[in-house]
Amino acid sequence: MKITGLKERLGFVTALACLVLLIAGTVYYVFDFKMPGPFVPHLTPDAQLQSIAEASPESYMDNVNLLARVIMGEAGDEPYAGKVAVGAVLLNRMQSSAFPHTLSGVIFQPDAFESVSNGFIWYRQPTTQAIQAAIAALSGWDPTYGALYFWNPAKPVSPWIWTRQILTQIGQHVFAL
Amino acid sequence: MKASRSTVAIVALAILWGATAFWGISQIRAKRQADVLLQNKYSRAFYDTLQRTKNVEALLSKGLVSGSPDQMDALFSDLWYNANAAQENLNQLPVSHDVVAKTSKFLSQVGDYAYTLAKQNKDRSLSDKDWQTMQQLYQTAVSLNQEMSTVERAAATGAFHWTEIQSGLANKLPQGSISSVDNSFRQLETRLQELPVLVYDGPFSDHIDKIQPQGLTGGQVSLDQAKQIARGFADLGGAAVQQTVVAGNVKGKIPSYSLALRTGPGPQDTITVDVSKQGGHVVFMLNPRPVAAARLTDDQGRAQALNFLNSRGLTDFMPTYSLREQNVLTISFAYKQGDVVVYPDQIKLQVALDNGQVLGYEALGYLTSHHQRALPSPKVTVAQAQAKLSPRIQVLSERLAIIPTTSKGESLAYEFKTKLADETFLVYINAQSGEEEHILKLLNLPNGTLTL
Repeated sequence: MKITGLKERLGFVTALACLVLLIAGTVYYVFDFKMPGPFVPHLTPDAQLQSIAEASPESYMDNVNLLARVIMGEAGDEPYAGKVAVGAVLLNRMQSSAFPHTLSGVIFQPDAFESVSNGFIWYRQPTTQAIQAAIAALSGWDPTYGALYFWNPAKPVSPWIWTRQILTQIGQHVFAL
Repeated sequence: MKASRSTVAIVALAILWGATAFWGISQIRAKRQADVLLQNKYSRAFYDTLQRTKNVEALLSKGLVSGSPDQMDALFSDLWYNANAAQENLNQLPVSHDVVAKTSKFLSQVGDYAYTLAKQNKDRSLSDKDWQTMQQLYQTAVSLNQEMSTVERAAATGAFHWTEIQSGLANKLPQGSISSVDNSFRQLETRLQELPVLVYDGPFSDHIDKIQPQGLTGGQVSLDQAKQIARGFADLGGAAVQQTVVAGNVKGKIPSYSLALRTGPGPQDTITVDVSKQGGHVVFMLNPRPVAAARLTDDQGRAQALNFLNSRGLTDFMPTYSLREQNVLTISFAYKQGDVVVYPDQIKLQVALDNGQVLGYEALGYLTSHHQRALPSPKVTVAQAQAKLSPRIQVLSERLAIIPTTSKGESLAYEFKTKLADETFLVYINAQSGEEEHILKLLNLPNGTLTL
């Protein structure tokens, strides 16, 4: 087919360009590794994390690792006290009769934590500070004084959670019973 | 403008492509979400199995050491429950049956064995034959746990994901709903997971909730007074406080001022100190500064911690357990009234082993339960108490202690440090009734001592 005339040529080129962009965009989006998910088989294990796992009693480090991952996911941008606080909330839930009684039960309870539900906890390796915070929480530090819930008041949450008794605020998170 | 046929074709193609891409991407998203959910379900089942089998190991070892039929009944009930839970969770994992068959069988057998013993054990203590059987089960449990821990370390460092194993069995989805498994456990009483960290108030944690704090002596303090107290209390490591900011107000069982002491511009230069409104007691302190390589030994770290406590007016404390992790030493201190160790009055410290600075302080337990106690004199002598122990264990030392009981009270007990083969246990005999109250297993490790 012959293309004659400037307007037709322009139309053709524009359409072609749009198509190419569309295809390129889709390909980029589909293969963009920034999407969260457990598809990170190329993640190299954090060397320090590995050496901690070797040197310590297994039963303790499983819990530290798991707790540190959730702390990273939920309070990665929070100050240190906020990280310890999130860890403490998980441990408080374990002891409460209204929640599962194992740490993994509390963490993987469906829809309890956003970073667990969307897979973020598997995506990033915990930082040294997150591990330290997990150890402090497991050792008994509780900046929330027994809180069972926490949320960011600036983000949309269910109205029910506002009926809980608020104990304190640390960083961006509000902690409640 | 008149479009040529090629342009129309291209536009049509683009629209078609767009629609297909839109559908494809939403499918990919849905699949990824489902994968994450599945990964989480499997992880939960795996970590639960791990924890339950560790409990089985610990309970078996305590069963070997206990001298009281009543205590053993309780242990066997716990053992039965934990073995059951371990086995059910194990069978949820996406690994082929022949891999887990032996483990599953072992766990069932332990559970059945414990159940039978619990039913029969009313008047007699463990026969020699039963004791031998329990020893063998215990050895198997130990090696099982070691293998599972290897798997856990691989999972923790991201070496594999459950869904990758799953895709090898792509056609067979696990039968039944996975979430209904853990729901059914809520009804049972003996559910509490034991986290074996020295100071995780594991065995002694109940004293904290729902009780009015007894240790808050003194009158109300103002915000300025609280700021002064915080500045004087914290171990600044030679730095100067540039700014004291009120980070929050705590309205919990101990109303407090939450203060942030800034010694520098970064987030790691902020020391958080909570000071109670009544009495101006420091509830906790946290310093997140990064710690360099260790230059102090554990003993030196403990000495620094004791110095810190003494200089802040907290005398009469003795270190009970400690754990070194990432160049930070976490130490648990118990108050000592005379010769008696008062476990509920607990303070924990964290010492940086690069320069001895105290980074962490935690006194919620202490402020909740500390008061001058009128200690009764024991009705049971040491010799009588020692006679109550199992004849199979060897006593290393003993002392008197106040321990919290499960009904949120306290009792005076003899604490016997005992040994069986090469494992150490603490056995508590009530000093008034002579009954065996509690058994704790001590794990002596290169970086610390934990209790289970």
